Amino acid sequence: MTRRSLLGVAAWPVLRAYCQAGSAGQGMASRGVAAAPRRRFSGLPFLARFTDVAAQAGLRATVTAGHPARADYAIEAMSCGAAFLDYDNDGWLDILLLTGSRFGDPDPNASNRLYKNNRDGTFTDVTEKAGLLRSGYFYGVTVGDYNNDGFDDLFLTGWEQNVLYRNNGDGTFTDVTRQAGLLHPHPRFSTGCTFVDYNRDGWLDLFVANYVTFDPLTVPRAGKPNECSAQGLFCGPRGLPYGHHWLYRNNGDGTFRDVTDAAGIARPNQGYGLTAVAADFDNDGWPDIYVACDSTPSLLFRNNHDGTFREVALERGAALSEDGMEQAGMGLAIGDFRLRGALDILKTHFSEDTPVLYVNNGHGDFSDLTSRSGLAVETRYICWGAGAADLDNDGKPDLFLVTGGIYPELQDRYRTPRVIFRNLGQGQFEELLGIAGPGVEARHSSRGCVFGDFDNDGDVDILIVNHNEPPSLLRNDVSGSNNALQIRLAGVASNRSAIGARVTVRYGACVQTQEVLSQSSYLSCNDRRLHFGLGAAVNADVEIRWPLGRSEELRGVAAGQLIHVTEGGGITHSVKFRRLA
Amino acid sequence: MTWRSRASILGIGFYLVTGPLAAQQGPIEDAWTFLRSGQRGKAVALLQEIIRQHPSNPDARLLLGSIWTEEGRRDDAVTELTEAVRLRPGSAEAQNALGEAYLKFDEPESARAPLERAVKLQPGFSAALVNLGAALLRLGEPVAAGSYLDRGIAVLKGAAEGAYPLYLRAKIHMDRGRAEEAAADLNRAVKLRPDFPEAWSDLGEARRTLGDDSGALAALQRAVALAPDDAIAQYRLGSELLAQGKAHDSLEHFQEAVRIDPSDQSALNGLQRALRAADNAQAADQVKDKLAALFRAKNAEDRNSVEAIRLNNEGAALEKGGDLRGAIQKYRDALALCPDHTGIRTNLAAALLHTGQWSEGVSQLREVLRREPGNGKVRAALNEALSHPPPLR
Repeated sequence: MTRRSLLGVAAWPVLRAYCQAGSAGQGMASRGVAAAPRRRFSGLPFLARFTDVAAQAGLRATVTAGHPARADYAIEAMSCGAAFLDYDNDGWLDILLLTGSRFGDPDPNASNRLYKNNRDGTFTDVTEKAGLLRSGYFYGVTVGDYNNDGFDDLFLTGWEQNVLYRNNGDGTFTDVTRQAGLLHPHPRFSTGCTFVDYNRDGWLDLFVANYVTFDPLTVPRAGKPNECSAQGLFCGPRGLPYGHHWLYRNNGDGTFRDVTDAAGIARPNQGYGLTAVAADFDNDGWPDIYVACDSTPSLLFRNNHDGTFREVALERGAALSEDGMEQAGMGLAIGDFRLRGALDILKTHFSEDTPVLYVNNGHGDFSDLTSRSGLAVETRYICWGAGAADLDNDGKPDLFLVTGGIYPELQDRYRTPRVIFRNLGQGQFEELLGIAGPGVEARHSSRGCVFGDFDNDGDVDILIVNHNEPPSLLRNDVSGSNNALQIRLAGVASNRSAIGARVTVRYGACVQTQEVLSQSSYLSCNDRRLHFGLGAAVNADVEIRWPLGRSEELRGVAAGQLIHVTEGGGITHSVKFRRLA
Repeated sequence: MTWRSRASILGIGFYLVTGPLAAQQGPIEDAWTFLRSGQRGKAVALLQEIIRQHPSNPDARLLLGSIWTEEGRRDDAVTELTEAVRLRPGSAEAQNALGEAYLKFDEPESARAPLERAVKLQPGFSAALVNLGAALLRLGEPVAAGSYLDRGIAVLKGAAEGAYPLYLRAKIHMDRGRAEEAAADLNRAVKLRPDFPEAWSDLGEARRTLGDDSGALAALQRAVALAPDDAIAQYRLGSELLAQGKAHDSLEHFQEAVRIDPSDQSALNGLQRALRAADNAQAADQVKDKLAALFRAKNAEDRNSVEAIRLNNEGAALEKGGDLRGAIQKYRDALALCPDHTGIRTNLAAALLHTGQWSEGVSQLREVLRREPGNGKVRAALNEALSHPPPLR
């Protein structure tokens, strides 16, 4: 079943009709499954409430993504992600929003945008001052300090060219793509990207996923019946050649070397790659790489500890749906959903399909527990960005998904609401309908979303990319008395961003593991400060495993604060959460 | 379902020998007797003889058409049953038999009109109500389907034939996420027909959805016992066992599912997972390789499909510009990439006929009809071509 089934497949013209209609091997994969029955609502109160404060915060620029009424090519429909980052190290989250474009009629105001946090709930657009004014088709972002100078750098994927921006430490960035050896001679449709110190040398390497091989000279434009669609919708991904995924090794001198072949990344079936996550799924101390693939089996590159990887998603149970089918893998949320000290994977998909929950046995073998966990009740929407975040600070990571149609031509299905699954514990979730605030009910065609505490008040807020609209900034106002703890890590021997560090927190009777990631959701990068809701617990024990393997334990850390921990140096300072009026 | 089509013929037989024309139906009663005693060949020969002698005998055509339906002879069945309907348009049985034939040959759109007529003629005709419900279900109209199925279930009360509409109604419930209602209908269905494997299999799925692991297992085991060659039931049972941590027990069912359909990727994936869980990594890797090959083949097929349509569209453009030879070559190239595509084949056939290549054109149209027997436009085109053969040399 393909997306064409959403439209009804036109009868094939016969005889003199000069048949020009869609092909069976087109579109995005959807299993066409019905939603599972909803269980009785738990009746528990939900203490988080989300309000969209984007306009009052000054986030008013539209994110361009194709024409509002149509999409000519997949390159318009698939963008884009965003990042919460602290580019100026002032302790307040800033925002990077990527942009898409319009084919043949580019929006003159479209640009990637950097917003500086004014520390009062508002932001200032500093794009131009920062040297980031740039239009084009951008998709993914990863944030990390690749040169270990103490300031976060940016890598952006796009069609036709990816870009590495070095943070100059003075509020500006410099495009160093060419100097770094990352300029590619031919256009690519790159999507997922993640910094990862795969060889544990203390320098951040770079993995880049690609979607399809796209050439506007050969791929038909939407708008009239073509070889992809009788309805004149855009082509892809099925029927188009795969993109190829790339791994670049950081040479430690500001340059990178393509090690794709040597590392075994080029060997397996490739697939239509989207979001990429680097994390230690088998808990062996070495980062692995998982790629959500659209309409093809997703990929799990297991780190062999010798500079190479082996693709193991099929054998580890993380490639397909429960019934063995390919799914339209878009976004990823990584979390310890069952509080067992292992990283589980939630992957988002097309409508008429469920998100999938791969539960990790702690050694990197996954079981698909989507149905049993209560997640199969929602199949109405095309889901993109996702996060595993403890939205109400009750000590259990919840799930937040953003949704949106891919065909502006189908307006009735184009703008759709956000989805929250509350974690009930014991591996069970329930979808919350109508009780999490207007910011959740609002309908948009959304893509990336990022999670972070932009107002430093101790709860998780959410920034969402909306197509051809300004973004949504969902301020979370948590009521009640639940506690939380945030942890920011700084590597010394390990990479400065501490990407790949694993933190296990024990609070009350719970244990929860998180890792510092540099991409998840949909092509996006979350706040690198790890957020642990603690429920009623007033303190917690923290165990840190740094990327190079060193372990550190912090006992009885008080809730209600952000702690800064430096590798080998313990807590260097802490900041109490602000209590907002 | 075999037991359903047998029931259908039984129904026709009953009507014929007890209906108002029974006194004139002696030979047909004989045919029916042959049929009941398993002498199908004799029954068919007798019915054909009756039709030869009395071409306007609707009952003979009705019974013969129903036999052809059961034997899968689509064209013969539709011809006889259409004629039966023409001869006796007020017969709900004839209308129902024609609709049922279309349903059996996967043409629910064609089935709809005769079935609607059957229900209008005889509102309490349970078989027609159920068939119409089934047709509408396949046409994606679950609300209307449900109402006809409900009426059929009410008419059938507690009869064994009521199992089938209950089974269909359960599918509607499942599609709407109402597993409890589905399970209730399926429980009733298997009570009415304990030998209904598909109902047991769906009951297993419904119970699994409801979290009733032991009930799911029991139902699926029953389904497999009744229909060991049902790949879906075997796969479902294997999956349930694997989910319950019984990897070793699941193996035989996945293996059976793969034996029945070696390219079933669900079963292959289940098998490789089960083998791995059962600590047989080597065999699991072999199955995984097959699965990977399947994905590669699908990808190649997808790409061929897009390329074929591109070539086809180029051919269409050439044809529009008057270059029929160029168009034919494009269509041939397209068909080589995507031989299952009946639209491309139809375009090739038409171009061939227009360039006087009658024999190959007709043969291509026949091939389209073999793949798509319900394509009325192509059938008309074939008839048109056959009525204008090239002059003999």
